[in-house]
Amino acid sequence: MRFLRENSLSLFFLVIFLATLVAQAFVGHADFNHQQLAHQGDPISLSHYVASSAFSVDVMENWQSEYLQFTLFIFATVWFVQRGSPESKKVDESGTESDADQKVGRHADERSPRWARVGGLRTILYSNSLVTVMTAIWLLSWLAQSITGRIVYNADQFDHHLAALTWTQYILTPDFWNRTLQNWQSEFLAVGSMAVLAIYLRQRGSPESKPVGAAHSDTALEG
Amino acid sequence: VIADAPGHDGGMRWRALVIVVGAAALSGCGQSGKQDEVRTVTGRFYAAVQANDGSLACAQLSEPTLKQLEQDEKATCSKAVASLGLSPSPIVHVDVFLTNAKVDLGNGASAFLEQTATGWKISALGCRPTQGDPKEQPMGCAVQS
Repeated sequence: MRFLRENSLSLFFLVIFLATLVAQAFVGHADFNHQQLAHQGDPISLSHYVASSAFSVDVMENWQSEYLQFTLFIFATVWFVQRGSPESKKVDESGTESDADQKVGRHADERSPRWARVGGLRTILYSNSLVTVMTAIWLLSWLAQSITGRIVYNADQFDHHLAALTWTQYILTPDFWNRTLQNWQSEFLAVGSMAVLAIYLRQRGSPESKPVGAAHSDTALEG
Repeated sequence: VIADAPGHDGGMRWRALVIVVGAAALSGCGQSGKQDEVRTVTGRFYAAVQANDGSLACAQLSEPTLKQLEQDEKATCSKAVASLGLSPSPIVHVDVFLTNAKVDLGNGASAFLEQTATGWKISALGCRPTQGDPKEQPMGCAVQS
């Protein structure tokens, strides 16, 4: 019970992630078979659909945009600030901050991770590890989107008696960029609008919000 | 703040990514099997045409393509397929994407196939680029649905 209570946020999102992924598989399968019948094709099984690029591309195009969103947010908030937003640092704290502020090297304490204490390359790597890993996941899922997207695109090409595209040709198509940009713009809007709305609006008890009674001009306060 | 959130379950997301990348890799595992089936069906069709076995040749066609052929030639499929004058040619390349495939023959013509409930079937035959880029302009086919 203690484990559940102390990890409820991660567990909650894990459960709803899996539930929505399964739901997407079912409705995606139904939609795929609807399109098959409309094009005089035969329906495929759910297991065939889930293992296909048709399902993978829809999953990957959303994954890559989510990881890009968080990567950019982590990276941009190092230098960019928003006065009054709980998502921002204080206006005069822009930048990577001092070693003392970040508790690295000789400023580390006994509870600091070892790579924060040792200095040198390992501390530089550890200091940027979150953005590095998030960027790697973003690029890998974007690559997966391009590979699976090309397969789906070429299946449609063959259905219309057209020739197939290579991967390098596919990543220059409007199809690839339409799948990509339609996700990016929505992610950027959501993050930007939350940073601004949180200046004036509150959610009592949420660390994403300032305390209900905090002034609109208060920056970097969490409720 | 929201930026803290991804760090807490980073390991979990890595595992999830590995699972999905693995699934994507597995989804490609059946590719060579599909190519073999597509190659077999196409080869069987041309062998049947050469052997004047119209019914076996027609069994390799998709239902809409078979009906369209009969309608165009105003004959049963078995007779119509012999009248097309299709010459056998070696298969030089096979591409399979999802439920669609294209087979390129040595004589420059291509055949398109689709995966049906009863296996891979030929949906278009004797296809050649018309004008312009074949990635943009549909090929012209001797038989199609």
